[in-house]
Amino acid sequence: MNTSTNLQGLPGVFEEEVSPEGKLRVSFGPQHPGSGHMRIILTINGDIVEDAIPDVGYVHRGVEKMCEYKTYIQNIPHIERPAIHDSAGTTLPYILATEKLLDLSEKVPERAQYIRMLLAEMNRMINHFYFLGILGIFMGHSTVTTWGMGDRELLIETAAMMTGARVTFSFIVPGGVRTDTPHGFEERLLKSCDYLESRVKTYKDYLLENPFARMRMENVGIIKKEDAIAFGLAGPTLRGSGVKSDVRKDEPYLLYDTVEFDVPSYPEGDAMARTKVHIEEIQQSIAIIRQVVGKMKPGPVKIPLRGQIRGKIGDAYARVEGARGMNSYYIISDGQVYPYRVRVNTADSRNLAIMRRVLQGVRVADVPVVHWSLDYWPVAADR
Amino acid sequence: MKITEFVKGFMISVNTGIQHLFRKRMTTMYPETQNYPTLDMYAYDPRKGIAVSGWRGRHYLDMTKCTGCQLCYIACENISEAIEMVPLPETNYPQNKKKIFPAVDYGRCVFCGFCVDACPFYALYMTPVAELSEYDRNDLYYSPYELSKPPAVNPTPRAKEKIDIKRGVYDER
Amino acid sequence: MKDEDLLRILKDSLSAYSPVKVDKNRIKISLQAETLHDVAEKIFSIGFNYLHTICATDYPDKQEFELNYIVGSMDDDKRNNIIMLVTRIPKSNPSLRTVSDVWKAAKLEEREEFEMLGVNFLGNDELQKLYLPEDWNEIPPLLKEYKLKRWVDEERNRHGLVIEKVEHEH
Repeated sequence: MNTSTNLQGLPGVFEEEVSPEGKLRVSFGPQHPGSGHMRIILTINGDIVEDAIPDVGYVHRGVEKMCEYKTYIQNIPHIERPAIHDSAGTTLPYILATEKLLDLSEKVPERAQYIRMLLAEMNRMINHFYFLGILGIFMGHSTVTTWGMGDRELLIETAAMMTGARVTFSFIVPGGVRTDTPHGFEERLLKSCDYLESRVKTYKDYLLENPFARMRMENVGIIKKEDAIAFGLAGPTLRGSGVKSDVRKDEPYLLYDTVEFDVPSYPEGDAMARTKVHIEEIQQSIAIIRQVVGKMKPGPVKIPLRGQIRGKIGDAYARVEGARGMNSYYIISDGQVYPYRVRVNTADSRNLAIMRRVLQGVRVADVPVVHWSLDYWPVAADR
Repeated sequence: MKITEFVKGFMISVNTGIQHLFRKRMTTMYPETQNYPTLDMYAYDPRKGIAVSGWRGRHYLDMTKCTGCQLCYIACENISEAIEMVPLPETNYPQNKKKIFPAVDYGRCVFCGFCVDACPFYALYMTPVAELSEYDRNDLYYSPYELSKPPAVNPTPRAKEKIDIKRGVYDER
Repeated sequence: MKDEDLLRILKDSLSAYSPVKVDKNRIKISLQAETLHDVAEKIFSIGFNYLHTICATDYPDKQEFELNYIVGSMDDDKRNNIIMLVTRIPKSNPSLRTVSDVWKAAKLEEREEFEMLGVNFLGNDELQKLYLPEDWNEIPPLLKEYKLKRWVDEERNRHGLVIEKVEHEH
């Protein structure tokens, strides 16, 4: 069995073929609803996947190059577009790195930091409900699909109340956030949290206890702890392999050191463990939101920045725990109004590294479940 | 998996499903009810440097305040290039000597609202009107006159949303 | 681990390379390209087993590439620390030894930097296209020579305002 991380060996024009030993090579995607904007070239022997080569790049849009041609503010709308499920978690490290270059890190008002935390946690829940929804599609469990999408809608509308947009918020800017919370926002957010907490139990009963869902997810796509670290995996995929790592705890940014929460992790490393991590994280996000709303005091939410922003000459590296794992930005500035170089490092592109290895040996019917449980979103990975 | 575990898990999940038969329907019946999260306009206060939260839909241009300074155009030119400055020689506003006003192409606009943040004269806002679909792409180009029409008041009342742990999220009719 | 403690450990094992604290939790080590692999193995043995990213940057006026290896750790006491290994290689011979035998995650990162900037990582057996289309025939796109068609440098540093001609009829 080939266990290298090599993704290559791609034919220019793909043709399905049967080898003399009876192995069939099929293209899984890129239009397949289970594969996203990518394809996996599967070599299957009977029902078992012998090799799976991910072919990525269908949605590469050159974010790193575009960043060099836009000002620090103009970069915000387009860097959050690759990851529409987690636009706050994708923008936040960029903003934190930019603030380091502007010497603003210490000056951001407390209320702005709390609002950023609220938005980041809401976005984490939005992503996790979406995860559960699509997991339902991939397992053929259509009830969970509609529930996940419906519960996500509640949070999206709450976020839209404050930010004015449903998924691409463009809300966090250098110096703070763009607006204060509107009238009735906290009330509705807490109400939604109460409701969603009751839903978490429903998901546990319906998805984690369900014997058919367990049969689909248990013991498939196992990632060992050593592999998870060596391949640099991130987020729920890493924690589902028994590594209790979370940037919010490891290197607290914003005011995460003032709130109490747990980092759920399971040692099994299979698709079920990763799903459990997602569901538990929803609970932890609700706990964080309740603490943050209790701590918020009236005050300024932004340092007004006049004129064009110019970073000081130097570099800055910032990382945050996005919904799908560690997102980080490395920005080099040459003192211009445009960044000199921006390196975007998303959790999705890190989780791609192990896809070939983890798909080897699973059954064809399990490929969608394993693929989705890896928390790999092609658009954010291709950048 | 043991058979007892199987039966127990099966009963739990079926029971959860049955409980949902008695819940209200979550679906919003569009367009009879429109569930906008907010009906406020997104505005920016350049003196304080903070925006006022609201829904970022189509723009509203106050032609009596626009000075034709092109700052919205500059803010947009690297983001989506949706704003163009249009000369309107027939207008006669004292503050706008250059007689140019912004026009927005909604085929390109990404609704980020940074043009509103760039306006120092309280001339540009964003309204809760987001239903901008047209049959022709060119109809998505809004001239300054179209932008300066006040947004139509939403004729359908906003649905009263109820969030209830027992009965679910539903619209009260 | 506090930065001072880590600096002490690093100075014991890597005394020749002068690690510098650049920011909270960020330690930078500037080194020659030939010694990069040794230093990578050394900091791996200290516990820095989690590669974040590799960032290559083009400096056309010096005719150099700067490579920045950003490495973190999954050891319980070093999770907040990040070490940046910075090295420069000439653009005329843009090649250096791969670190994918130290960190497996480096394989994909190196492949991306090879594709986007043309840096050749010796020993990495899969330096091929990843994100770019199969029929891409131009120079690597993240080089500064490669200009996006419209936004050339003259426009970048312009001072006057340019108003586009309006062709719409309204």
